[in-house]
Amino acid sequence: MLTKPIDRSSSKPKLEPVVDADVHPAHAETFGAILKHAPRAWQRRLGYIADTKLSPFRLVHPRGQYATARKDATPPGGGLPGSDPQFVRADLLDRHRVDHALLVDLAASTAVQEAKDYEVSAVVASAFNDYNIEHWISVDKRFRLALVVSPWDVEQAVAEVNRLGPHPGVAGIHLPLIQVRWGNRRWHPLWEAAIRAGLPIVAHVSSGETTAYDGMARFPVSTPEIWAENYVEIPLLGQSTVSSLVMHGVFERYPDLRVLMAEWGFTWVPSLIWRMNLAWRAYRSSAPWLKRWPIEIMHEHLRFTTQPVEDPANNAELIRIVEDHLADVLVFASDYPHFDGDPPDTILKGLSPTTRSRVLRDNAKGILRL
Amino acid sequence: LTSFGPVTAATASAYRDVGAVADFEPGQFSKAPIPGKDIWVLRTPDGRWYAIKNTCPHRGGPLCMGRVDGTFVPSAPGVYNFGLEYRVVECPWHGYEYSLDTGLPLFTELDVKGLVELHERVVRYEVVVANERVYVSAKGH
Repeated sequence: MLTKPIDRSSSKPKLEPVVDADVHPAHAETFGAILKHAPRAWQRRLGYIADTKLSPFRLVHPRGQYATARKDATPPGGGLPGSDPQFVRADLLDRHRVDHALLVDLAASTAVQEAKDYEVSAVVASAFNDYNIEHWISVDKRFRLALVVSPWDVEQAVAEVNRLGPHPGVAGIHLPLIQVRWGNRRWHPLWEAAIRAGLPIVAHVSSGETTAYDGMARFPVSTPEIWAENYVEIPLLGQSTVSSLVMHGVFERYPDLRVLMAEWGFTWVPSLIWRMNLAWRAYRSSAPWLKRWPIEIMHEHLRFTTQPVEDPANNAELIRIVEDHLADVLVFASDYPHFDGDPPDTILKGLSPTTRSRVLRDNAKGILRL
Repeated sequence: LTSFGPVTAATASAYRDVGAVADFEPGQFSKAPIPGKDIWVLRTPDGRWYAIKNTCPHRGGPLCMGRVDGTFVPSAPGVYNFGLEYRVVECPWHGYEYSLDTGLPLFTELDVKGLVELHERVVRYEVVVANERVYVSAKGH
C-alpha cells in the first residue's frame, strides 16, 4: 500500500510545550573546526589531529560510527543528522513545540574523556563550549548548553564553570565519567562551583566507557564486547553514580546540588532506591552522615531523563512505575537525532495530565537553569 | 525505675520476678524465665536495665541475639562519631538498629511525605529492681 508522505509544513497538530533535556549536536566537520576556538598556540599543538574526524576510538556502533542517527533527521542540505542548527530548530523545536532543548555534546564529552593529557582535555572542553555557543546557542534561544568540563583536572573544570557558567545560554554542567566515583571528595570543588553558578550537574553516558583507556569509568566485570550488551548495561554505570553520590553524603554536604541523570534509563530507579534504603539501615555504620532516607534524597536532588524508554510488554506497567514512583523526578528527553530517540507525543501514553505536564516540562524547569 | 517499694498483690500480678540482680551479666541479654514468653533482659555495664521481646519488628529476627553496643551517631560527611553506648541493639538479621530507650529504629523518620511509611517498634517491658530482685512488667508496650 502506498502511503502519502507527511507534509510537515501544512500539518499543524495541537502541541503542548516541552522541555527536552537531551539533544545531541553533531559535527560534520573535522576536528579542525572545533580547534579554531582554541588559543592559537593550542591550534598548533593539536594541529596533527585537525584533519581527523572526532573521537575515532570508541567501540563501533553496529550501524557505523556516524550512523547512530535517524535518517529523517538528515538536513536537507546534507551533512550529519543533528549538525545543522537551522534544521534541528525546524525538525525538533518547532515540530514538537520544544521550548528549551539541552544540548549534550557527546563528541565533546568523548574527546575530553579520551584526552588524558590534562591540558589537552581542558583546552578541548573550552573549544567545544565556545564552538557550541557560537554555532548553536546564538542561533536560537531555545537551545541551551550543557557545558562540558574535563574530568581529569578539577581545577580546570572549575575554571571553565567560572568562565562560562554565567552565560545565559548555559543550563547545566556536563561532567563525563571517569574511574573516580562522584562521591569522592576529589569533586567537591566542582560541586561548589556548580552551586555558585546555579547549575545542575549532568551525567550522560559517553563513548569513553567502552574504550580500553586507563582511568575511564568501567563496566562491571569487564568492558562489553558487543554493542547490544553495552547498550543493555549502560544503566549500571548510572546506578553506581547515584549510589556513590547518595551514600557518600554529597547531598548532605551540598544541599543545593542537583544532578540530572541523562540516558541511563529510569525503571530501575525504584529498585535502586529501595536497595539504598536497605543498605542505609543495614550498613549505617559506614555512612552515619546520612540523616534522611535515600528515597528522600533522591526525590530532592536527582532527576532522570526518559530516553530510552524501556519496553515492557504491557504499557500499563510502565505508566504505573512512573505514576507511583517517578512523577516528580522524570524529565523528558528526545535524544535527538539518535535513532533510538522518542518524540514527546508518542511516549508514556496513559499518564495523568498532571504527571504528563511534570515529565514534559515542569520537572526539567525545576532542575535546569532555564 | 529501679525500685517500687514493698511487693503487693497488685504489683505481683503486674510484674514477674525474673531472678536476682547477680544473675544478669552486664552487657548481655539473657532470657527471662517466663513461661510462654520470649522476653529477654539486659543489664548495662553502667547499671541501666532493659527488657524487650526477642522479635525484630523488621523481619522477625531474634533481636536479643544481636549486638548490644553504641553506634555511629549522625555526623558530618566523612566524620565518624561513636555514641549511645549500650543504648542500641542491632538485629542479627539485616543489622537494623533499634533504640533500647524508645524501641524505634535509629535516626529514621517513620513517615516521610508519602515516601516512607514504617510501622516498626520493638516491644519493650518495664524493669523494676527491688531488694536485689529483678521484675519485668507482664504487659509490653
